[in-house]
Amino acid sequence: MIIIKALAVVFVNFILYLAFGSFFTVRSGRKWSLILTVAIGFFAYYAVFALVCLPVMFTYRPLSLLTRIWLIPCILACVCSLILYGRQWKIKALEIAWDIRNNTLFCAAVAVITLIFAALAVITYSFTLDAAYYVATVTTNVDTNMINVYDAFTGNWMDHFELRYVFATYYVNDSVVCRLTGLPALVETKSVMTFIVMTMANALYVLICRRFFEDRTRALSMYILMALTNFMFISLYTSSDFLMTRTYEGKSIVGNISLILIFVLYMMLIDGENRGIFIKLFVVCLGTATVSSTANMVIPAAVAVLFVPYAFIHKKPLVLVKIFACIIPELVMMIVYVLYVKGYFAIYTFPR
Amino acid sequence: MQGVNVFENGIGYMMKCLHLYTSGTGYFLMYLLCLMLIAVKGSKRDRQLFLPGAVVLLLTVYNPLFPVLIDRVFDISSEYYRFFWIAPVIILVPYTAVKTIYGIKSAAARVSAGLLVLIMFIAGGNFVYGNGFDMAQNEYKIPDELIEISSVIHEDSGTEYTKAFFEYEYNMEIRQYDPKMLLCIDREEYIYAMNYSYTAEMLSDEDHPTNRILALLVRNQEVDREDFTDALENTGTQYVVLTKGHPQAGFIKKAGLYEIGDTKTHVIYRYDLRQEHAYEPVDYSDAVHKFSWRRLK
Repeated sequence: MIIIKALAVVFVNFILYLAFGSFFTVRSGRKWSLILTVAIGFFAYYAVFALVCLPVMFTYRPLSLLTRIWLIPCILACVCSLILYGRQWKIKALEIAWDIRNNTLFCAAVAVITLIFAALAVITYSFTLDAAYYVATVTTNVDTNMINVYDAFTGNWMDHFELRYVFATYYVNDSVVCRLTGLPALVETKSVMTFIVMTMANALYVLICRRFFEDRTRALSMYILMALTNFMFISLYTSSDFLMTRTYEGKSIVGNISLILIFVLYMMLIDGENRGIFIKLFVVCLGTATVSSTANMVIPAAVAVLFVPYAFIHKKPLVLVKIFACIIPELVMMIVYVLYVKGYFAIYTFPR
Repeated sequence: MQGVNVFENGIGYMMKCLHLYTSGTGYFLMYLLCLMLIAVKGSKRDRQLFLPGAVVLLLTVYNPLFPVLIDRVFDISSEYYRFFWIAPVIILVPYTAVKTIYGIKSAAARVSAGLLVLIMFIAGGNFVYGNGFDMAQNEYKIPDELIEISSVIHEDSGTEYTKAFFEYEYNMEIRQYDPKMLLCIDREEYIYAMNYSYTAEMLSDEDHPTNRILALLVRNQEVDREDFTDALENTGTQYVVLTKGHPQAGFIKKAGLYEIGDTKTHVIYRYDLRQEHAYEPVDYSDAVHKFSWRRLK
């Protein structure tokens, strides 16, 4: 029963990402990528969730209330997206069916490799210190029906919110899903989100391979080598290690989805597909800031490394302004965190 | 990054960090070789995609002075390696390999090049399951024994919430499964105990009774029996779970703890608290739901 429920949650999540992402990528009469839409939708979903979650959390209202409130934007996004883009989805489904018929070997190989990766990540036992915080946060939130007011490590009540983690509301979303579906926190985090993150990372690899090579054999070869790299480029610190052993963690999403997606957007810019690129980049940056506090240092650096040289080489100073706008979420979070760590302020978990 | 910090290593920090990051794998070296190949033989698009970013990375993230400068503003010693993720190793290395292989005209040479690339990828890496494949024992992905211990303790305590001491791995895992199991030791305290001994001053610190529990059960330091039970009392810790054959098993039995059950590798001890420590979650029902913060400086 748990497996069926978990698979249903995976399916619903992908539908939600598609619904949220369509607002940013699907335009009538223009080509759009399903993988890019779902990936952008992933970050849009978490960005909107943070906007809904933070006021509820900072006024110490219960998780059950957040769960009910969160259903509203989800339903609205799905309905509006279906009305606005339902026809485009149908056309895309037919295109994909055609693609599968004509590139059966490529599609089958990609599906098998992705499933092997996802299955390995789901069935493997790995002990990580960080899970002690992340997963226990979900179980604690669900158990106490509150949001981040109890210490995940011990269960003790906290006087003020731990700002290092509090803006990374990705785990609160897991709590909401657990509350809504009754899934155990360990299954939601270590199986459902593991499956989703692994699938999405592999889907982005496929997108990149096909952008590099029209020829399917070459694209498949590149994809296989990318998969092999993830198996072999392992130390305690590489993003591949995070993907393979700590898949569901926010850091893994930053290293394996956000950074890859930022590269894809940069690639699109180089290829001249620059319409709305900085809006998509902003969504990725904002969404990533709500997934992990690691984003606050890595994402501004990654955006600057790729896009600042572009602005100078192509003599486009306006791009610098856009880059700055995109990384504002991370910069704000960084300032808030530094002020908190230096002891300038505290946000309390009870009215004072 | 474990054991490496900017303060101690100065401009040597970056290289030490990179050394730990790559951990004997050849992928970063392959990335540099691929950059050179792209610079020499790559198309205009390839060069635009990979080279400007790489130059910026070499001038900043891979510049030994960069972490030293940043460290003056932020303490980045433990997280600097995450900047290394920005280099698109997973994209550039496979891309260049495929482009090189398929650029060879002779079929035989192409197959040989393909095999060579595979050997480089495999021999130049550390296999993720190189130390063995550890399959999860259940859908929760925690040890079956931990689930068993949780149910033994809850059956025995008869209260909704109870507080316990577990050893390292179980201490980190139990609350992922069982939020009604409160812990007397948090993660950072435990990690400290694994690395440092406790001084006499720390052991007599009444504000931190957990020091005595950790000194005895993690560091095997000498602790007075009464001081230990006082620490359990003060923290409201009713259960202690230790591996079978733990060197302090005899000590805690003499201190008044007694076995209430065991599993294949662990023993569960109970301590009868002199004073009841009933745990009640904070009541928010009458709270005014307003944002509350305070400027401290």
